[in-house]
Amino acid sequence: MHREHGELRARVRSSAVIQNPALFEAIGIAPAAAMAVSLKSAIMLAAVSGAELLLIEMFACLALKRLKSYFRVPIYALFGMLINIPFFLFFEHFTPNETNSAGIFLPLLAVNSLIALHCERFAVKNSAKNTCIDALSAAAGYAVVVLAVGLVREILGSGTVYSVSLHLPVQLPGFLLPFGGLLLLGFFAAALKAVIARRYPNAHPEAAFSLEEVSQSHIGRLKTLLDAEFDPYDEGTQASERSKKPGARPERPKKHTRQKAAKIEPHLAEETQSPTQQTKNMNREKRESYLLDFDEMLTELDAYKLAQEKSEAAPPAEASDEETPSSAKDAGGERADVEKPETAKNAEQGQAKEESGV
Amino acid sequence: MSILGSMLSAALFACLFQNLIFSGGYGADEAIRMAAKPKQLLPLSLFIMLFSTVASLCCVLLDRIAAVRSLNIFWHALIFTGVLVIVYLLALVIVLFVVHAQPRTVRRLGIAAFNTLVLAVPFINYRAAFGPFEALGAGIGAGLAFLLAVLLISFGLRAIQKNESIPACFRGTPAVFLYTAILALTFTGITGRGFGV
Amino acid sequence: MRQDAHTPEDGRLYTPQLKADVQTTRKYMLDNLVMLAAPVVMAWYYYGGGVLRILLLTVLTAMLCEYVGDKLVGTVPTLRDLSAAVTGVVTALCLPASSPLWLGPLAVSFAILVVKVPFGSTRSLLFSPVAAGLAFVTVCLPQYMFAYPALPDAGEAVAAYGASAFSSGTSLAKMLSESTSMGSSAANYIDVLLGSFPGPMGTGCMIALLGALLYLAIRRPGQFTAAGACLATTAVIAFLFPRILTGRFQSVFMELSGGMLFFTALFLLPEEALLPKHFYGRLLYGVTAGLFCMLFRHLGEFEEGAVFAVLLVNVLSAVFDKLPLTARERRKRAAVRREKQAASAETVEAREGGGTNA
Repeated sequence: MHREHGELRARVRSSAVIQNPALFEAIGIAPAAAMAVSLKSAIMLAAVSGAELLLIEMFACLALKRLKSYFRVPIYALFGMLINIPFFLFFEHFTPNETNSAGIFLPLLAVNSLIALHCERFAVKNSAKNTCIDALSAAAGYAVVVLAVGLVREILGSGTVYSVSLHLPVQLPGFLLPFGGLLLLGFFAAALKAVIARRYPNAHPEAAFSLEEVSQSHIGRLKTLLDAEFDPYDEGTQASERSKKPGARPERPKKHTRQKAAKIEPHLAEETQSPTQQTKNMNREKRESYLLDFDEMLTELDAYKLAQEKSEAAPPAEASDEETPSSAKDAGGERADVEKPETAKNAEQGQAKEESGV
Repeated sequence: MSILGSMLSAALFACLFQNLIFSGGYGADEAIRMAAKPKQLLPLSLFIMLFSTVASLCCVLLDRIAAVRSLNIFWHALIFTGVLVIVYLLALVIVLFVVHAQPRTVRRLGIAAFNTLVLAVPFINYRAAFGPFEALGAGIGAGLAFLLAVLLISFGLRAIQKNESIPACFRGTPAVFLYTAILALTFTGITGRGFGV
Repeated sequence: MRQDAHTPEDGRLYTPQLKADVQTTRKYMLDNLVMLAAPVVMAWYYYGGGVLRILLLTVLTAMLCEYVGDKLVGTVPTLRDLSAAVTGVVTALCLPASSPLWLGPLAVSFAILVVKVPFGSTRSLLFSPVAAGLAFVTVCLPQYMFAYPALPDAGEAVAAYGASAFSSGTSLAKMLSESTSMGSSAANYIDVLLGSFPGPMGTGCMIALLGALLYLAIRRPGQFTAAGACLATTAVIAFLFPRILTGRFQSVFMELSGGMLFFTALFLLPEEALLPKHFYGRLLYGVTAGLFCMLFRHLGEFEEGAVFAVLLVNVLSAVFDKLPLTARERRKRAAVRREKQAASAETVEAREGGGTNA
């Protein structure tokens, strides 16, 4: 019970604090920077984002796991828009000014990256209970950030809190622009990072946003750029984790994948390729030939196993001292030899019976 | 104004004078996250330009139908999303079955199609009552705005990564956000008090 | 987590490396203070004792913000390098003499706490702090930034903006934005050269600034390259695309003398930590800055956009360094590329040989 409680706390802490979606994963920034300009609009944003996150993640977990990821993504957008509309109507009725100032951002929340990334990275790979915990904790973490940003921006930019004037001598309307939101997000992220460093020294919030690839060049041939690996939903991580499970048999690639891998791309003339590209091509060819060899070995092993099973099922025959069976064929040959004396014996027995019967 | 002039002005407006990302905040997440992956800059920018152009053009043409024009904002939101979904599915069919692209290219389509930047363009066209050519220009401008934003942010990310003097609490996303904030402040110098639709 | 390189060791406040860095920066800042002496004196001459109050308050705020900011983030405050003092002086001189006492401290707080402290120190900047601070107050409070008072009579104090005694003057930058000429009378030219024209406190006296430019050319030729290139580009664009109709030479004179452009080119642009390392890189840096200055002036929302141009060109600083602008650079890069290709070809051959042996 205590262990479960501890695990639950750790999971919530990870989703809401250490991997806070807005501050450390850098997702859902656009609405926070552009829409959260007051406490009221921040409440709207937090409510809509939270509802969308929870409902769409649960839907993805329960109904969309079998679908391919590229079909799921448009479903999130459509479903998000359908959830948005009642909220839009509700807020338009009760807070028309804030709804108006939110502009087009309220409908745009349907395509908030927060939803798609959390669904793809978590909801479709985990159970309903864990998905619910993740959705609620990520929504809570996001809501806290957005509310803080909205509150500070309203105080500094408009001199009010929840539309109640504070009669401040100076207002800085620049904070109501997107740069003000980004500024506050930066400081909140720094403050939270300092707190995490003190309370949870083993946590690494910076791991949520990697800068490893940043020194690569933008420039290159279009084909090379298109060939660069891109996995925003961590699908590669999922496959490698699945294969690392103890006792799990490594997945055999499907036949059409093996055949495709065996093809050599003739249009890539070697002389136009750079040495790096040539090395990659050679490695790919070697990999393909290893796969083919491996397939043949598996086929032979399967056949050998089948032959062994059959020979164990049949009565043991006298094996000749001169020959030792080394292959299935030889085993088959020996079985044929074994069968011949048996049939010969049966024939003799049959003849003996006939003679006795006469 | 001539057709080319209206296209150009809409594109410049979206890219520079009212940069959709720095002045409007649209697509800021994708810009910041893709700035950390420089190799994705050109492919993603091309896809974003494609989706924003085609979707905004289709939405503007649909809006010419009187029955559609008379609908309220909620229906328009649904229609715009539906159009985007259809454009995405068409692109998916082409990429999967005609071009036989790799899974990584297919993944790029999802990120490029469903983000606040691409969906914002039809709304902006609707509010500004743009015609088809201005819508085309706005779509192209959105792609260029994304390209410019990601390029500028990635220069900063490189400098941030090399800078060993950054205090520990500011390393990572805090420094990135502050850097992007100052870039957004810079673009405000062109746009003035900002952008509201 | 990695420790900052400048945290105290063995109980000493400064490491030897930090001490050396501080000494180098201090020399550079002392040069800046010498260059700033004449503009400060002229500002006091025209606008009275209020200038010194604004200067003092701004400098003290800058030093306090740097001290507190460094302590909060756990780095060693390096007030001895005088960078905070120079930031305060430069910021104050760009403000109108009628600005409220809190405007300078606000600008300089932003400059230090947002642009300097989070990115390390004066030696590791990503943006010019002064430019960012001025840009911030320009966006948030343009009514204060561009409300220049008419030059007071001798012995009279300058009234604050908003007071009943406040009398506004039209700056050269405003005249240019309205396509109004200053007139071709020689007296007007002399007034502008002597700084007897409404505008920011310390940026008006062209003779003082020309003296500072000469000092920069003698003491720091590398920085002069960038400043000179910026001013030359501005002059060329003003000649080719005048905003007034009374002659191109007058357009050049007004564009160079008006607003903060000359002052920005001298003190904000040639920030040592932000300049490219090579001559042609600095040249291109200056040219691009001049181009952006005129772009912001022609198309921007505010009458003065030099600070925004500086911020934009700061982003491109690293790019200018990487461009192979000389034949020697190009040969060097080609040699490095050939070495890399040879090394990767050797690696391929070694792998092939190893594969064959296996």
